[in-house]
Amino acid sequence: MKPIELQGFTVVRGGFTLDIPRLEVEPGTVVGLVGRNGAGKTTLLETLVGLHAPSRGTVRVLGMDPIDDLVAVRQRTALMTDDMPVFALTAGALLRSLAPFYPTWDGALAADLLRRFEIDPRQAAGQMSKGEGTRLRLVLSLAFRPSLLLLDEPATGLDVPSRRRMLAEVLEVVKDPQRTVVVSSHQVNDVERIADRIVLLDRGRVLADGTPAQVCGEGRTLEDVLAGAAL
Amino acid sequence: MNRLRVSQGAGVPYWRQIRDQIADQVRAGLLEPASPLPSVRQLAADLLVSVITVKKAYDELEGDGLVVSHQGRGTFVVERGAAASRTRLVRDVEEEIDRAVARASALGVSRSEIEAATRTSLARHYRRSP
Repeated sequence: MKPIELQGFTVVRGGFTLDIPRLEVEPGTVVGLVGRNGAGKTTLLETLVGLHAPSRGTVRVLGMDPIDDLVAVRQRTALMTDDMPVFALTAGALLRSLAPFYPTWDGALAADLLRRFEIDPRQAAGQMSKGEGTRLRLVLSLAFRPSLLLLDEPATGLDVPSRRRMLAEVLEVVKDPQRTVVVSSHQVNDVERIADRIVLLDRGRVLADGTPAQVCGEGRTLEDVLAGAAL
Repeated sequence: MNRLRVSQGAGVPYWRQIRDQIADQVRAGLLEPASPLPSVRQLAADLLVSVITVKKAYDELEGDGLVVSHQGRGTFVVERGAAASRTRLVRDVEEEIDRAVARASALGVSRSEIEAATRTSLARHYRRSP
């Protein structure tokens, strides 16, 4: 069963249309979603967890419909966004409040992740710096061992050691060949480094899709490609 | 295996850095014959590179005859350098031919038909008669 399958898919949001005739993702892969602001990256990720209804076509996530099977999809899929509200709880209380929603929540892993990302569970989530907030959202997204991990700008505000930690955790996820990661980031060097596949979006369309080598070509980096696709 | 290091600034693709470092360790005897390499997914996580990058490095090493991969069991340094891998290759081919002949025999194909088929096949793939 494929973690992501889009078929004849269109979603319209105001004046913006995201149009993907076909997209299938294999389990065990890291997919890098790249493109300029407004390309449709966030809309795509949000659609995968049932936040937008497609106006045409089908969406299957882990073999399910993200709207009809909303709860089942969200119990196995993490969407980490840049602006997830974290409320005025301490980090520890926030984790405890979310744990019951996820049958696969792993308390020992959550404690480990807090330590690895250097988050004090007594710290108030609402008073965290940008980087701390990002690290806490990473902990929340990883602690229930999602089958599908969707990361939207997971490097916001992170310093170099935290960014490396984040990359390491992503690769830790796909040590299990049944788990899958889609990461959208402007840190294209990082994306190129860890992604098995690159999907390049531009103004709501897939401009390129393939291995980094296929998308970039010999001797070019993803950064060159994005600069060249100055659209 | 000694610790591998990859760097982005080197201007050399990660897969090539990984392949070269492992090849050096095999040739220098730092990696024992028949010893296992880390799994593709483990090495990817250790080096913070993609799974596909490590796969590419391992494929290249296998193409160079330095490692062999066994479906489901992992990737191993060849037993005694390239010579050992050639011996094994020839043995594998012998076994494959033997299986084909045994099957033909079981299906009632005659000896002369097999000989003719073998000659045709040899003529197709080898320039001069061996």
